[in-house]
Amino acid sequence: MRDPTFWILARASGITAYLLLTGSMVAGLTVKSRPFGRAVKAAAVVDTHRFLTLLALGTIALHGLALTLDSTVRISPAALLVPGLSPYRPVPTALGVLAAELAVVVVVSFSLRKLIGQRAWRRLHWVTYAVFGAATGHGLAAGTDTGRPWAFSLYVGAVCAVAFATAWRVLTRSKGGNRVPNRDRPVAV
Amino acid sequence: MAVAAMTSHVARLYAVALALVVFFLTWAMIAARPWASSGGQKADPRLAALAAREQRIRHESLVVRRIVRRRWARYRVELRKRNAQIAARRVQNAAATRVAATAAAAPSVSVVSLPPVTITRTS
Repeated sequence: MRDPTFWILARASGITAYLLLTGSMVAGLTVKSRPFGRAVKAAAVVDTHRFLTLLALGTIALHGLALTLDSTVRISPAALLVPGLSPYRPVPTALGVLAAELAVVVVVSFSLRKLIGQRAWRRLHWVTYAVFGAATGHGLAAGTDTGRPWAFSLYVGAVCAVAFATAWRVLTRSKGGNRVPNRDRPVAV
Repeated sequence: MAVAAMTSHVARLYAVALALVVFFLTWAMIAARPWASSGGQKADPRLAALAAREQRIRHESLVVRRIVRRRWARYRVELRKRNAQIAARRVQNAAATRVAATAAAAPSVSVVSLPPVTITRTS
């Protein structure tokens, strides 16, 4: 029997990355909808949102590294960068690679916010939904643990959380209330 | 200054702690059954048949091994008995041969008185 350490590490880090991505999306969506009112500062939520995104990227890197080191599924370093090169479930794996690359683009766009302008940055931020969708598809179709009840309910819970936060955000904006006061608005870095 | 104002160390600490908890929980859940196939997929019937056959052959091999061991033990007992019989018979034969040899070495001489061999011819 092979040593499953890297295989378990790859699976655990993949699921953790997905949950961190979900947390980051939910945090990002609650920046303006402010479900906790004034109890939580918008700046703190923005910081948590960015920090969770960075943590998610770090965990994605760990996921990729563990996959290349593991012998259960042969994945070359090139397959981590080019979608479709992986021999293991090529389409779902390509979705995962695309999601990771788009996530990097979104994270980099934080730093280029002034350069590309607020409007372009906001438009680019819609890509996070594509990232989340691709990550969900990748997890469901390529994940080894999808068939297990705890893992499947985890995916369902994540999708429900993002959908709920999105709906909350849309409803809050349409009402026009609960606007973030200027003094609490996050400062662009 | 803006960065310092935005940074929420407590929230970051909670985020890292939560991420670690999630990671190790997931690790534990996966490590409990690392090679288990996903429940959604149906097992291949050929693999199931192979597994059943392997079990049957394993069981049969155990039975055969037990029978062979029992027969071997019985054979060893019989062989010991037979060897003892052969040894006893050899001893008996050796004794008989010795008796016979002694008897042949000392032939019995008996004196007999026969009538004289006389030929009388009258012509």
